[in-house]
Amino acid sequence: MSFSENVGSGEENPLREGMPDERTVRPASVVIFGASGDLTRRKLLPAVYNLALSRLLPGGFAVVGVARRPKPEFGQEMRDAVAKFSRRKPLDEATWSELEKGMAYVQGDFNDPATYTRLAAELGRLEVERGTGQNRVFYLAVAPAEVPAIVRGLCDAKLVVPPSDAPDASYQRVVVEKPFGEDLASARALNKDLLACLDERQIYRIDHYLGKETVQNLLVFRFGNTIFEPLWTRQHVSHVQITVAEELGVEGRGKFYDQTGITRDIVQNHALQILTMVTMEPPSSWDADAVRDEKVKVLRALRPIRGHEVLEKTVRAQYTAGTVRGDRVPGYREEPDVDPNSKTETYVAMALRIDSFRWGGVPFYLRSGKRLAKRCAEVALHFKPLPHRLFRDAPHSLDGGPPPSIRRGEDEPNVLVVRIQPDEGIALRFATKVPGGGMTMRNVAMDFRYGTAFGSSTPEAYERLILDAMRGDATLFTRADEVEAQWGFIDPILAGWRDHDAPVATYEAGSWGPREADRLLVHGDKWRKP
Amino acid sequence: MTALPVGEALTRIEAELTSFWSSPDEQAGAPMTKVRSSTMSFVAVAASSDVEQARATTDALADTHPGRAFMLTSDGRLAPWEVSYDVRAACRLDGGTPICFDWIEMTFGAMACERAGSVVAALALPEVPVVVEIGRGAPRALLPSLLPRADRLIVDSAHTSASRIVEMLHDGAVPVGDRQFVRTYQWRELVARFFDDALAALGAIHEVTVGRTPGGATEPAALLLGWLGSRLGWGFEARDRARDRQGEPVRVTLRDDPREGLPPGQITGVWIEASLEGQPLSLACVRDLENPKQVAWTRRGARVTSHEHALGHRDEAWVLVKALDATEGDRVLWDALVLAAQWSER
Repeated sequence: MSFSENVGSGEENPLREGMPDERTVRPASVVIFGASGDLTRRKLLPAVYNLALSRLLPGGFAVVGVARRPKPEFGQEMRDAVAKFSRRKPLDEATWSELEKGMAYVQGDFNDPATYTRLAAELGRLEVERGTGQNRVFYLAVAPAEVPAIVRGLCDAKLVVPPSDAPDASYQRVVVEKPFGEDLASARALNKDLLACLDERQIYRIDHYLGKETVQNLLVFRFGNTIFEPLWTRQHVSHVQITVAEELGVEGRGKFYDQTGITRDIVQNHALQILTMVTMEPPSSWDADAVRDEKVKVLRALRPIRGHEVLEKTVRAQYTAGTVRGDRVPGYREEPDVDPNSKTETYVAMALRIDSFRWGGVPFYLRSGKRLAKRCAEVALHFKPLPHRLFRDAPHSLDGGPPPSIRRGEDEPNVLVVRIQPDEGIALRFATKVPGGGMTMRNVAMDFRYGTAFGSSTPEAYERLILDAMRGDATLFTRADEVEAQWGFIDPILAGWRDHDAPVATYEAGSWGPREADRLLVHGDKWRKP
Repeated sequence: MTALPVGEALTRIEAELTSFWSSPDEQAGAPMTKVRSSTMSFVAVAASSDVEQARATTDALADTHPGRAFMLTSDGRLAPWEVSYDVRAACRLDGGTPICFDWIEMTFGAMACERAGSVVAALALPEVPVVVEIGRGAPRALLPSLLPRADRLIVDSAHTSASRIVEMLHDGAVPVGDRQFVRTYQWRELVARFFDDALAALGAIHEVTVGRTPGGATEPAALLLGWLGSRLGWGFEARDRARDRQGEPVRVTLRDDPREGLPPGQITGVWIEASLEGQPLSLACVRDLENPKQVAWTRRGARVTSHEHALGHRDEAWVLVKALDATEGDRVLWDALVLAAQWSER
């Protein structure tokens, strides 16, 4: 069969067979709206540079920044930012120099059609000079309110055209930063605006947590091993605790934070994404829609918390002054730009239920907070206790035995902890026999750290996500129905707090949260102190 | 290095390793359990003159592929049945936890070489693969007993010819990675890119020219031609002639292209003549005369495009990591090696 017979039938280039997937990115331009912002300096450009350093960018590549401010020294500013914020230092001059050749800046108002005309001209020039074709990734690192105008501008200027299934057709994709709306209604409105001129396949809603290696590894751990998944059910799991804790306070963003709160900022996106990855059914394939279908099923199976139930199943709280890592810090209401009578939560805890065959009856405790004792994101599966304590009446060891507090390994169920950050890894707690006479038991932790096996310099989440957007792999991006399902779960909780004037508890900065959160736990369960 | 009969040396090595792993690490001030995460046993077989380089390679590898490293060589000056050995172990602190590695260096006497495989089998870590790298000038006497123990083999076709590699692994049953295949990745990628939007031209190639600096230990064009031919279903009738899948002739030309600043055996350019939609299509990817790290990539005729690309440089530690990990290209590499061997024999 000749190659020509297959052209247009979806055949791929046979010369690319066996090449690493991540290295088969087609030439492209990445256009960053909001190029004068912090995200671009701290995350996006360093990620692009590290992709170049890892040789993961295509030969034909260009970066165009778009923002309102004039930036005559855009290249130099980006160079300084990369030198400061790149995970790999010092700056590799050869790599930067090559990258800088394809760098450009367009100044303009996002509502002004002339901005898009100038952008089109700049892209046209780069497409000739850098060989990027008309493949374009538009990264919208801007406030949510600016997204619709930019998307309209791109479509009106024909910088984005409807996608084609032809194998050699060019592509245009739009990456939208979180927050994606501030409630269900605004998320729906934003989806409607985007879908008015884009196809869902062109929209990449980013949640950078999904780009973290350890979050992705949750799926590998579950579905790439045979021994864990059979235990991952209500038959074996007693309860699950998900913690996303920060040491930091509002860090000068008091005004923004006071209008947002941790439920919108962390729980609606990051924490619910982790929950879906912990609890989803195995997808039929590692395909974007197959994976996202399963995640959406979990979100739809989450039992809603409505009306008065918020008082029983959730706790919201604010931090008061305290000590974090040895430093005295002010309380939330004392932070600059925060309303002294604010009711915005800096901590939230929830007791969740998933109505499914796999998870029926298993409590999921989710908490997230600022100014907690330490920075930590983890998932802990607590397994059910032994049905019969075989060694309970065993004699003490002949050498006197350990003190009672550590002789009770049999009483403490197994725990499997997946640490997402920091100290990324997996720990399993199980009981062992203490050497010597008798049958004294003690719990030990088998601890795996990623750094020990793969070195400490793992790619940043934005590297993976920018590369995936260029490759057209949306698996680690959220779909319209997924975002709406997340808001569909969160909205009634926010409404319940408002309608029933739910109390705002307090906790001392540097603690693990308010005492009120303890009442969410059943069967004598206790919050972990990671 | 201590020289002993093989069995005795093995016992002592085991004792030294046991002693190291059963004692706590004290560099953090208080005794702490040593932690190990193992991904493989890595066996570097090297000429005695290259042991220092093999040591640097395994040291660098410990950061990303921890496990147990072996450096094996032979020395005719040792008593025939003896082996000299050295054991090293070290811990680094990672967040306060001592992460530890060990290395075993062994030099085999002439007759002891045939036992190298059983020594590695006894000392290799359980549950993880044994990866054997055949370095430049690796003593051949060590290989027959080692190769059957290997779960993956790393070669370097820049100094071991494709014919020799295929001969060693005649059935291709052991997965193989090739450092040279990694080094030449960019050339293959740039050639593949010619056709991304011109797939029909793949079936209408009628001439391929490969330029290279003269004097390499092996023919650098062989692997590139083996790869291109095997992907496109070609058969080589002679070194300068192939038949494509439709039986159409493809002319093959090698061009000596000496360049200042480039070592021997480096590819300097690839030129392809094909046709597309009834029009000629000329493709070229050629190192810049002034800056050999830069290539000009051009298409003329049915498609017109022209870019410059930096070839960049990767150190050998990176090359080895890719040869270990990039297993998705194993079958493509094997097919390329087999056809490269056939081409070389024409």
